[in-house]
Amino acid sequence: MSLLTQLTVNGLIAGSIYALVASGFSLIYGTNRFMHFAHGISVVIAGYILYSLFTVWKIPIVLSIFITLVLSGIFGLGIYRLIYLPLQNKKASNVILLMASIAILILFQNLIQAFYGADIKTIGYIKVGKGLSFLGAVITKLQIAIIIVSLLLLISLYFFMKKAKLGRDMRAVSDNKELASIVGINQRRVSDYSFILGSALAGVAGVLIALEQNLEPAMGTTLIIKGFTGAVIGGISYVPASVLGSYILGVAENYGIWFLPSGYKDAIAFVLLFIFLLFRPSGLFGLKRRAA
Amino acid sequence: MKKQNKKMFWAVILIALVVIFVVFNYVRSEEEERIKIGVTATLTGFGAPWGEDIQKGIDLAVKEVNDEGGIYGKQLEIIYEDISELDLKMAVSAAQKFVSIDKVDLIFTQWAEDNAVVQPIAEENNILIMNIASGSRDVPRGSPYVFMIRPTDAEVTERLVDYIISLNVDNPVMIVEQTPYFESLGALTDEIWNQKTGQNIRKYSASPTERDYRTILTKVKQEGYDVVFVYVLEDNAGLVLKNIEEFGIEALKIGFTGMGDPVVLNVAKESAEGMVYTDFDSSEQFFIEKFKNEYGREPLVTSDLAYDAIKVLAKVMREYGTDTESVKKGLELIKDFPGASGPVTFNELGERTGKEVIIKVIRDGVGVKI
Amino acid sequence: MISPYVIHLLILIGIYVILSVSLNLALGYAGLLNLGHVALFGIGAYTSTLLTMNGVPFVISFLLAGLTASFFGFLLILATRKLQGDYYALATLGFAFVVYSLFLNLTDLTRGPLGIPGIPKPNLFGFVIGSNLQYLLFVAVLVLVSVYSIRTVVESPFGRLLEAMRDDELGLRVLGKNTKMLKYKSMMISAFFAGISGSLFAHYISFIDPSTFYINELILIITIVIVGGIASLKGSIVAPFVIILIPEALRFLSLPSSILGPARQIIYALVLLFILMYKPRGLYGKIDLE
Repeated sequence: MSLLTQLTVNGLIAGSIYALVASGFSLIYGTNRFMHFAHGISVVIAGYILYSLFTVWKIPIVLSIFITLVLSGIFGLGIYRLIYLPLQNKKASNVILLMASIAILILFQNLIQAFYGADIKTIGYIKVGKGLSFLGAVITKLQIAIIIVSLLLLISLYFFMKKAKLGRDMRAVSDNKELASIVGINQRRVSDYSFILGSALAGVAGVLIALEQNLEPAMGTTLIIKGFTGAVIGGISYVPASVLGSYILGVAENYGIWFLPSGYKDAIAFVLLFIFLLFRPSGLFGLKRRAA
Repeated sequence: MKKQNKKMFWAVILIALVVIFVVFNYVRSEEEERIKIGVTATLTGFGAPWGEDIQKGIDLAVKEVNDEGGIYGKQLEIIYEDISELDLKMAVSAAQKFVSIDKVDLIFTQWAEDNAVVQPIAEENNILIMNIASGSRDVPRGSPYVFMIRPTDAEVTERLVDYIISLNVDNPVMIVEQTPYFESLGALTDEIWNQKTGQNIRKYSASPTERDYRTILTKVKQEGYDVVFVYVLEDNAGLVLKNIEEFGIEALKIGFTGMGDPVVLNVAKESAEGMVYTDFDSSEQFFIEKFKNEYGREPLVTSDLAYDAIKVLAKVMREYGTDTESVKKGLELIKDFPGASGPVTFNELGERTGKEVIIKVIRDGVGVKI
Repeated sequence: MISPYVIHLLILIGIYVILSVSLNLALGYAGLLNLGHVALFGIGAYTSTLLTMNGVPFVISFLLAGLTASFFGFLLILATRKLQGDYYALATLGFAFVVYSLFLNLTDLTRGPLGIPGIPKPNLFGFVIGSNLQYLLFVAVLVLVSVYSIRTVVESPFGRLLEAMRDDELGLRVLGKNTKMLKYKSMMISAFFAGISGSLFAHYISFIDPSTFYINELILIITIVIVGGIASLKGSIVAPFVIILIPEALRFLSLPSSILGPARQIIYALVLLFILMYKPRGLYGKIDLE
């Protein structure tokens, strides 16, 4: 087993998940300028919806996944319309929105537990077995799928934001809100779509995690912390940057605990977060801008 | 004007809260016709699966006891308090509420940590504690107020270590979750191993929220292994086993009590084959059936203990009385009570004894006694 | 006689009053969006614990808890002095996480995940604070001292400068004021009180572990400040009452045991959302933080 390849592969797998979470978070932050921490629960809800659809109601997997993604997007939109938008209309500050976000995270985590029970759920679709050997590293088919799906999605997202009108509108709002509305871009519509799209991306992460690992109501908090860290490392308001940052985080964590005791894995993420915020708050690839 | 209204509004809310307090204070102290037990358990957060199972085990037993007419005609009432994520100030609040508001007759604690902060309060108020899920040596022995219904880790671990050594395998490695229970267990295992072989077990720590053990296992694979102790909470233990399988790590996989639960096996599936773990001459079948009938799924490792705690207490209270001294005497005299977790007896230190530790191995997806 | 349960709650509320008033000094008055306050709380707790359990007299440990936290507050400002707004807040959050990791991994010092049980009650020059009532009196005295101190700071010319800095730092600098010194001083005072409240907490609960000073606690502290209202001392004093008493009141609500835990959290989250949506400035807030 080639050590370097193995660690890199491990990093890419972790990074893919982080990137899916970070991209949605970043998209929402860039367009709306506040931290949607409840984004973590979008991932969890998606996983549980998939569980209900596929494992409980036995709907075929592909259809289940499709429905899950649609519902994830709707969920995100719902939170925006029902909570954030009314607050913004009252001129609530970002701190208030952040607190509301956290309250939503707690609310839904416990709703999921009340509804599904606290015990661990599994999707039961993937077989467990010895991994394949690829360039000297061990990796399973699903893990290869995770990396490929994430990369494809994120590349598509990049082109979407570069070429599609909606994507360009989102970037415009992210760069300069006032100018964008002067030019006639409908802010509300752009915000709506940022939540739908961002939460659907979270949904993809939820589906993949459900298939690869297992489901637990409390798993959203760690995910959003890691995704958020990845976004900061890369550049929080610029989606492709946050994606790259997430991959860097994944790789750094896995390389890191090669040299450090394994208990420091989370510490590595936190220290990176802190260092980046100190020395390069706009991230490795973010555009230099004064924070709001 | 508007500002004044708002101030009034909030003043009203605060007064309402105070009133709720006072009212409930009075209402509670009038209900003397019940036997009350306060329970601290992790009902939300990461420990929720086990807190929930304790609650289900207790509720099942309480229903049976109350249907039989209760104890001297008095119904059993359980007051649950959540200590989400082992929030110790919540545990202290719960204990204070139990002793002064609810006026409980007994307290159940779940782990060593909530026990540590609840114990002084219980002792001050002459209330007994039954600790449900912790076999840890961090629960003080010999306190006249604390009884532990889970067999001690020391006994269990020694049996396990003896067995592994008898297999003539060397080069042991352990993956330990950074939580109090597993740190303690890991340290204990290492000590016992060292006592018997003069060597230590290489330890790899994992965060409690970790779900991807691949790099830790990469390290393990690189640094050599023959035996891998998986000391990770069952919700993630299945993932560890899965990753072990993916890496083709051919080692003797060792688990602790609870590793044979469906929680682990459903995730690990084939990768659990050959895992050796400790168990007790386990949950009697009758309990598993009852639990399944009531709740639609199989119980986790701590619910039978919780069930037995109630049943043993009911018997003791009926035979000896409900005040602290009588219950204490009764518990000390209990011998081989037929519980869901096997025969229950307490020794002079309040520890559970007599439950036979057995070693099991997973063959074809099922735990088989060795 | 007052129920011991009520005494217990008042002790907790007292500790949180000191903590929230100290955070409001930094957050509300100086405009330092310090999400890492929980780390300072924890540093105070661990310092006091480790010192007293190694023979150092309580009074000294207690003061050192405050001073050590103050020192870390200094370091925090030193590290983040160039950051603004959101980025500053995030950096302080990162600081909180890093400190948590240190508590967790420096096992030789802190016993890591096992935590430190058996923390002794305070021994003031030979007088041991044995009962909860005595502890309540002790805390009450410290609450008065802390609130009075911070109020003095806030109402002094120094306090005015802080508020000016919060509202328009650039403008203040143009006027020739040394905003850097203002930040350091306000943070160090804020951190000192956070540290001593940590000490009070540790010696009361008698058991601390790394997870005590992590996300849940952080959320609780910030909720208190938001509910109380930014830049309002009155709010910081009233808010702990509300925030601590609401979950306690929920204990008295009869709920089916199978969903007891999550149901209470749901109600708590809903109440919080309600407060945020209809009273975004909190109970007594004077300003909105941008």
